[in-house]
Amino acid sequence: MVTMRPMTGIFKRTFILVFCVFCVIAVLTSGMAAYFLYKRMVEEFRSKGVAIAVSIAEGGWDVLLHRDAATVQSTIDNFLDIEGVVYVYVVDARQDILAHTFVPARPESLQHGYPHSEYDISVRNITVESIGSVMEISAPILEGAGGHVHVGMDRGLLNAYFWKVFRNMQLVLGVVFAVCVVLLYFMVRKISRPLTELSDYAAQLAQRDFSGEISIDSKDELGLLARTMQNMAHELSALFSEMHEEVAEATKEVRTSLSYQSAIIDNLADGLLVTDRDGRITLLNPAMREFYALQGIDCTGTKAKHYFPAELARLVAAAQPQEGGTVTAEVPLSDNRTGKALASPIWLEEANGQCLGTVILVRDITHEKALDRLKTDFISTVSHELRTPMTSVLGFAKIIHKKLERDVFPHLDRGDDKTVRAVTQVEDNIGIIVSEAERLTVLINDVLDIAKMESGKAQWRDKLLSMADVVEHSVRSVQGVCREKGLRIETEIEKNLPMVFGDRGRLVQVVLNLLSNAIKFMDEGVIVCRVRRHGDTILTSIADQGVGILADELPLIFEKFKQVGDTLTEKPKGTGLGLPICKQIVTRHKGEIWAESIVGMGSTFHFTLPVARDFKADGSAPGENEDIFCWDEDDALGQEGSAMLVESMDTGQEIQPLILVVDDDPSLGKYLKQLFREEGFRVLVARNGRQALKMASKHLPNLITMDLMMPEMDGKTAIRCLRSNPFTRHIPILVVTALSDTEETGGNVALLKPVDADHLLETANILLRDHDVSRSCIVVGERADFEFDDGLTVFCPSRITFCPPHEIWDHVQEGFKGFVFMPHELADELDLAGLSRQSGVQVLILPEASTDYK
Amino acid sequence: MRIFLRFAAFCALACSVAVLAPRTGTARDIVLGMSAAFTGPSRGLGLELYRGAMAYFDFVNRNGGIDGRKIRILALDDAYEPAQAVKNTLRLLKNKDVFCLFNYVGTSTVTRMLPLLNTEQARGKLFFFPLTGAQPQRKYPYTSKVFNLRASYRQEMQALVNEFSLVGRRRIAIFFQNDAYGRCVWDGVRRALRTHRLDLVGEATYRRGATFEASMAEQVDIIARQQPEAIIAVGSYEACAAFIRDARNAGVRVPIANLSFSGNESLLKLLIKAGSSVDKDYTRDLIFTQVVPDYMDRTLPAARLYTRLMIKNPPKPPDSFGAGYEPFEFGFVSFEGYLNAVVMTHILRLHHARPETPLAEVVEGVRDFDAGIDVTISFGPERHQGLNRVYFTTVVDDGIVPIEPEEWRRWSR
Repeated sequence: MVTMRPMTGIFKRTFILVFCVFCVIAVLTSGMAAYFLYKRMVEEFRSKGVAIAVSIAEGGWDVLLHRDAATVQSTIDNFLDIEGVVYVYVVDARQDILAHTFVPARPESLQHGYPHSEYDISVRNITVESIGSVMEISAPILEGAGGHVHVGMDRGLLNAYFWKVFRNMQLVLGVVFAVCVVLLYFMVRKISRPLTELSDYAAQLAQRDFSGEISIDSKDELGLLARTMQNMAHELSALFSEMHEEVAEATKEVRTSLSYQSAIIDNLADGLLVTDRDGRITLLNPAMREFYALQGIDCTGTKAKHYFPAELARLVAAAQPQEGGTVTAEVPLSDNRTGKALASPIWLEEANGQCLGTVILVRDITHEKALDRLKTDFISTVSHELRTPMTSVLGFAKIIHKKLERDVFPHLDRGDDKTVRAVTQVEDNIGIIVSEAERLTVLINDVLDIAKMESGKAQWRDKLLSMADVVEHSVRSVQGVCREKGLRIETEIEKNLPMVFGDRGRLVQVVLNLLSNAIKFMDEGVIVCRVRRHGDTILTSIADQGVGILADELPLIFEKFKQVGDTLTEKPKGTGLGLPICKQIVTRHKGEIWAESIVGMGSTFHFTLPVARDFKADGSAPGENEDIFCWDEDDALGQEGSAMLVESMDTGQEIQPLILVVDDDPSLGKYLKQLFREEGFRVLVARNGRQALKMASKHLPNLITMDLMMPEMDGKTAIRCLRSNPFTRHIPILVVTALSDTEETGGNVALLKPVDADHLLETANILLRDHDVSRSCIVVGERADFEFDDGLTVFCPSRITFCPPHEIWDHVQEGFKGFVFMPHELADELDLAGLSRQSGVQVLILPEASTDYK
Repeated sequence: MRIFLRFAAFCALACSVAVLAPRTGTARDIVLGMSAAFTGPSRGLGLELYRGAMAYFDFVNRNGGIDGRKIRILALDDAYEPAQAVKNTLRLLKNKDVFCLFNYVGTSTVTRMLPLLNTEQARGKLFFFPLTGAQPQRKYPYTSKVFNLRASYRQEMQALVNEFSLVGRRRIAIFFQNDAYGRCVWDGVRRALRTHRLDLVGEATYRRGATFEASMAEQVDIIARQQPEAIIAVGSYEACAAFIRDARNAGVRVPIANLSFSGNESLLKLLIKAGSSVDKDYTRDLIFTQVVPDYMDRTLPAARLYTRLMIKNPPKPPDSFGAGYEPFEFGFVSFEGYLNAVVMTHILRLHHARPETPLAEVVEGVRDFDAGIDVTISFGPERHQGLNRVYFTTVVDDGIVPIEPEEWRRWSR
């Protein structure tokens, strides 16, 4: 068949269908025709065979009766030439063969007679070996008396004839079909040529070539289609050119905005890094390249960790899961610079947003860091340097005041006016020195505090706590002062408040600050403390009825060194750092602090703290903090009954220092109590660490003696708890223990048991009382590797001698009397017992300085 | 092929008629019509029969003929095909110059043309001495129109079966040409066997027209399966020679008998040739029945004249036939033709002497005519067959020799 280029799918399918239908028809037609012919032929053969058999039987009966075999043979030989006759044979009445036409022999199956009709012509279909399928016609001679004539007609011939007819019919039909196909082909080509042209034209349109023309101008449907397509092409062409213009315009705009953006990005002083979800770099601005010395390197497409330090790579990964949140970190830059990186994920704006990557901004904060460090160093240095002389100034001022009161003034002549005036003036002046020195100390502490917080160096001991508890505790603390001033404090605390997460000491500090502010600016009235829930936060409010704050000044009160009022005319009361510290603490707890005020009516300070979300309401989160649970209220309250408060000198001019004795051994406790009471101290005894904590925070003793081996809470833990509480952290702790490893307990001074009474009292006096510190001090060790404790300078202000360990005995034999301080690590090298037995020599082992609480 | 043969025969006839016409034109010649196989596998029979007859007629004609009238044969070729024989016969019967029909060859051809003799076309023309021992022409309704010289096949077979029976060979099978000739001999054998209360132990046929090249292995196999003690082969000399060759090749050693009709010399020639090519002797144990005596028998005047005439004036095959045919010097067929011619000449002389007497009466009046052989020939109203004697020959040293009665013993079991 001719290769039909225009033979499209439809035509091909139609052709195949027609071909199949034709095949079926052809087969059926030729089959039917051949079958009918075959049937007819069978009839024909039958009648032919019958005619032959009858003609032999009837025609030659006389010959047959004469038994002239040659004539019979000659007769039947004639019939053998007739088409379809395969054999003829004649048998006599005894079935004996008379003549036959078989070559080379009569087939076996025809050797024997078979039952057939004696008198009638019979037809049967048989299969004969070496001949095949045969229709045998038998005719009787003289009603069977003369024998029978058998004529075999070849059925195989009929079959061959059938197939021949079939084949010929097929051939004819095939030729007809071929002619039809050729005609069809030309017709199809005539139809499909314009169709092909149309489809080519459509393809051209699809490639946006509108220049083509269609040459079909027939009046039929195809012509109509062609015209329609051409019109469509014109429309499309116009549409496309319009679109092109719009696109060009839009592209220009996009390009402009892009160049703006890239200029912005390129000129950004901060480094910019954009990565995709897998952490591959997609954008990098020049500043970023400069930060990491990547100029001229094409990094896009590679993982960020190949080019950037691990900190930044971690940031890239960390920002991904943060939904909308940003992550910041300090990262090292090249040339020993430091940068602050801020990573935020890019979110697809649609709902169920998908993270596209991360944007990281890096700012070079080397300079700022340096400045900050400089400032912090400056402040701490200055404060430290200020504090040391201030301690001396204050200490001596107090000593001078005492000496004067005790030793000088009684001996003066009271009668002399001038003297009296001088005495009064001196007393006043010294009082002023002391109070100013104290104020300065507070100021320095505050400054140090805020500096620490601002520089992030402050230590936070966060845990779950109850705001109600904080407020109650604070209120209790100021109750005494209030009473003195004649003020009342009321607390309104909502029930079942959720817990908050924070540093209890610091929060107490906030509340105390606010309370003391209120007390400070009030002469009479009621202070109301409210704690309630406000949404997801706990709102704490402290309202006073003081002078109030002017509206203009409200925003300034939380700034450093700002105090309301005229600082020139009025004497400032406080450092002016209280509220900034409060703000720092509250802000650090993710809370807010603000004030409302009406002048003359009073002010209200509010601060909020977020409700602890991730913890159970009961707040027990063991292991959350490495600290032991220091303030277990229930436990402490349950034991309160056994705490003893012993007032020794109720009516004394001066309230005697309170000593808290902590020991589990009742006899030893009793002994110590007696010992201290005879010396004139007030004494409290606690049985274990927990009780000690409770009592310490309640009574704020001036000194604590602490045993280390105790049930429930041992001494070490108790000391750490005490040190973690801002109200008790300043209390000196004297460790009285049998243990030798007193290092790292956190106590100020440690004494080994058995305790020498003189020794103990002397030490206690040193730690508590500021008079008669006339003894010399020897510090074993080099000055350089010894860090001074504040307390040491206080009780040995002038005569501190440093000596190496091997010279200590020389000093003792020369008649040294006084304190020998030694670091615990040297304790093993010296004969402590020998030293202790020397009269007038006190050995103090200094524990390892705990820098946390310095 | 058949069509082609017919066409060739027609052409030959046309030519021969054209050639003979001037000679037959002279009313003095006595023309005998002859239709025989001058082409095809059996042409040896027709040609030899013609040559034998012509040997004597030429001798007669040379010596003045029958009162000056010369005897001629109008020879037509039927290629041993019955249909062609019928056509030839019709043509001869219509020809007024043809005096009678003479020297036909073949049973099937004769059997088919016989009815013509009883038609108007025959105009009383008689049919003389066909080379066949078949029964039809010896029976009603043809007996009055036909005169035979040779003994019938039944007689040949009876004699043969008698001899086989005498030497103890009673299991006899037959290989025959499946046509009237074969059927006739088959019938003869059966009848002969029946006289000995025997029947054929096996039979196989072949189709007329088979040549020496054809394989007869199938027929040999069919017959050999019956383990016969003697085989009778009935057919043309080429088919019989092929059968003998294949039988001997298959290891069948029993005697194989052939009929006079087989054309012994032609058969022997083929077998010798085939045997020499494969270095085998196919000529052993062959028996031929003859209806004429041995032509080499010097005691017989006819044989002496025959051999002299054949050597002296070897007759030619009929015009335009025999191209590429190598004639035999002597032979039983040509001797039979010679004897036919001798008897025919005698009849013609008698008829010439009494022209008013119908020919049939003339012939029926022949009594004890001595043709120069060991027996005399007599005809009568009830006797239309001149000879009844059967002779046997065999092959010795590639030559055909008579079998003396005592020599049968060599095949006894």
